[in-house]
Amino acid sequence: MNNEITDESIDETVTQSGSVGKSRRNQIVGIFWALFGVITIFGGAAIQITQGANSELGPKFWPQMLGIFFLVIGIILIIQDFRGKIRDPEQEEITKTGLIEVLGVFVILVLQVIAWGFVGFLPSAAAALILLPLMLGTRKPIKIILFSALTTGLLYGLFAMILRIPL
Amino acid sequence: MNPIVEGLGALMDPSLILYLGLGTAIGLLVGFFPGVTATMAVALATSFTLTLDPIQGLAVLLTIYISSGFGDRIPAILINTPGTPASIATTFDGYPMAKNGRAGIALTSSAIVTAVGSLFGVVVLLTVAIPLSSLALRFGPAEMFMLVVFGLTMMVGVSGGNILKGLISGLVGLLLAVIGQDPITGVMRFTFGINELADGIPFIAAILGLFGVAEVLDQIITRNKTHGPKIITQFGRWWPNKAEYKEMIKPTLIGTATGTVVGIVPAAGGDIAGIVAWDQARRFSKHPEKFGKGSLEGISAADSSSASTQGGSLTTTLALGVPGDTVMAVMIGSMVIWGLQPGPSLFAKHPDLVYSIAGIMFIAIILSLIVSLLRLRGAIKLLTLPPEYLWTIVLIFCMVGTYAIQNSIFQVGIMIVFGGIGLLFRRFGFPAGPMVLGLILGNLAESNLRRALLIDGVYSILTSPIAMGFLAVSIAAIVWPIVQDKRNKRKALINQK
Repeated sequence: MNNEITDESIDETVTQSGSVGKSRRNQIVGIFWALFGVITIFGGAAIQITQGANSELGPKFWPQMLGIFFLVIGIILIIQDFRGKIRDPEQEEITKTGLIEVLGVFVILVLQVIAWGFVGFLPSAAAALILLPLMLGTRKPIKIILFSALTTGLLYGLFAMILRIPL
Repeated sequence: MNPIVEGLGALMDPSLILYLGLGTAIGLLVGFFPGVTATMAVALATSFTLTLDPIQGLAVLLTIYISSGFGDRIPAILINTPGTPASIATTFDGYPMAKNGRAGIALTSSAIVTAVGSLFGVVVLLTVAIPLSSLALRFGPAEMFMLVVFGLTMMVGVSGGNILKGLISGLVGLLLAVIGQDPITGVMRFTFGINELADGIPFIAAILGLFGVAEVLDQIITRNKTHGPKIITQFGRWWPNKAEYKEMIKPTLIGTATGTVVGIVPAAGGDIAGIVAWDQARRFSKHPEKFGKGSLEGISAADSSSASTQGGSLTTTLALGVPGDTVMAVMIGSMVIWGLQPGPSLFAKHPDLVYSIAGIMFIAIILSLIVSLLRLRGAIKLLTLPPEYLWTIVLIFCMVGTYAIQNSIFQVGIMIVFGGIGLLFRRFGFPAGPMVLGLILGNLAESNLRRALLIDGVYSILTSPIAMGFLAVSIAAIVWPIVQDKRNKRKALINQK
C-alpha cells in the first residue's frame, strides 16, 4: 500500500474533515475582489490629472497598482477555493435572533444619525437609548427609561458641559 | 535643557493626576468587561482627548492601555472569559486556580507579574527607542516604503486566518488612504464630489466603526441567550506565600523575555505573547503536568509576557512609525492630530518625549497595581451587567465620540458605514487590523514609493540593503504561516495514518 504523503493528500484529508471547502462562498468573495480590482484600475485611470503632474508616477499610479493587486489576489482566491485550499478561522455561528437584532440595531443607528440633524442630539440619543435595549430584548420599561435618562445626562455632562462640544 | 529633566518636568502638571486617575479607571473597567477591548476604549477616548495638551492626552490613552492589561485578567480568572484578547492565556491556569478555591492568589499574583512585565517594558522603551529611531533616521524613501510593507505584512502574518484575506484587508486600507488629496500633487482622488472627503477618510471614525461598532454587532449577531457566565465567588487566600513567590520567579523571567521580543515585532500583541510564553514556561517547568490545571507558573508566564509586550509595541510605534499592535495604530492617529508624527524623526524633534512617556507608563503601572490589589469584591457584581446595556453604551459613545472630533454628523455616518463593513469583514474572515494599518500608513507608503521610483527607478529599492532586508522579512512573514500550516497538516496526517 502506498503511504506517500503528498500536498494533495493533505488537502484532501483536511477537506474531508470539514475544515476546508465547506462552501464555495470564497469563490464569490474572490470574484468580488477581482471585479473590485478592475473597477479600481478604471477608477484610477479616470482621475483628472492637473498640468505638471507626472503621468507615469502621478496620482493614477498608486490606485492602479493597488487595483492590479486586488485583481491578482482575487483570482488566486478563486483558484485556491476551487482546489479546496481556503481555510477560514473557526467562528461562532450567526443566530437567527442575532441577525434580526443586528439589522434592527443598524436601522436604529441610521435613524438616530438622521434625526440628530433635525431634532438635535439630546432627543435623538434619548430615543436611541430606549430603542436599542428594547431591540436587544430587554423588557423592563422602568429600567430602560432610567437607563436612557442617566446615560443621556452623562453624555451631556461629559461632552457638552465639561468638554464644551456643541451637541 | 537636559531631555530627561525636560521630559519628567512635563509630568509636574498637577492636572495630570486627574488624567492618570481617569485613564486608570477607564482602563480597568475596559479590561473588566469582556467584549470591550483596549483598542475600542483608546479609540473612544481619542475623541475626547484631542482637545487636551499632547502630554495630558497621552496620559489618558497610555494609562488606559496599561491598566486594561490589569483589568482584563479578572474576568479571565473568575468567569473563564478573557477581558481582552491579551488575557486569553490567563484563562488556561487562572480559571482552574479559581475553581480550585485559589482565586485570591490567582488575582494577586497576576497583578504582581503584570506589573513586573509592564515595568520591564518601560526599561525597553527607555533603552531601545532612541537608538532605534537614530538608526531609522538614515532611511530614505525606498527604506521607508519597505518599512511600511514590512509592518503591513507582519500584521497580515500574525492576524490569523487566510493570508490572502489579510492581504486584501491591507490593500483595502491602502486604497481608502487614497481618498482625498494626492500627497504629492494635491490632485483630488475618489472623493466623488463630496467636499467632506477632501481630507480623506476620517481616521478615528473608521477606527471606531471597525473596532467599536463592528465588535458590538458581531457579539450581538452570534450571541447565545441560553446561559450566562458562572462567576467564581470563593476567593480563598489572597497573598502568595514565600514558596509561591519563589515558584513565580522563573516563569515570570521567561514570560518577560518572550513578551519583550514579541512586543518589538510590529503588529504582534499580548495575545500571541501570552500563549507563546505559557508554552515556553511549560517546556522549562519541573511540573509541566500541572499546566492547564491551575498552575501558578502558567499564569505567571502568560501574564508577565502579555504585559511586557507593551513597552516593545510602544518602542516600534514611536521610533519607526509602525504600530506595535492595534492600540498603537489608534494612538498614532491621535498623535498625528497633536502634531507628533511617530517615526524616526519624532525623537530627534522631541527627545524629551520618551522620558515623559516612560514616566506616564511608570505611574500608570503603579496606580493600576494598587487598584488591582484592593479587594474590590463589589466590583465583581459588574460582571453580571446585562450585555444589552453595555452594547448600547458602547454604540452611543462611539457616535458621540466620532461627532466630537470635528462636530460633524457626516463623520458619524462614515463611522456607521465602517461598522457595517467591519461586521462583513469579520463574518467573511477578513481581519480588520491590516485595513486600519493600511489606512494609517497608506500616504506614507505611496509618497515614499513614488519618490523612490522618481529618484532612481526600481533600482533605488533593489540596491538598498535595508529595503531588501525588510522585503525578505516581509516575504517570510507571508510564507512562514503557510509553510507551518502545511507542516501541521502533514503531522496530523502522519498521526492519523
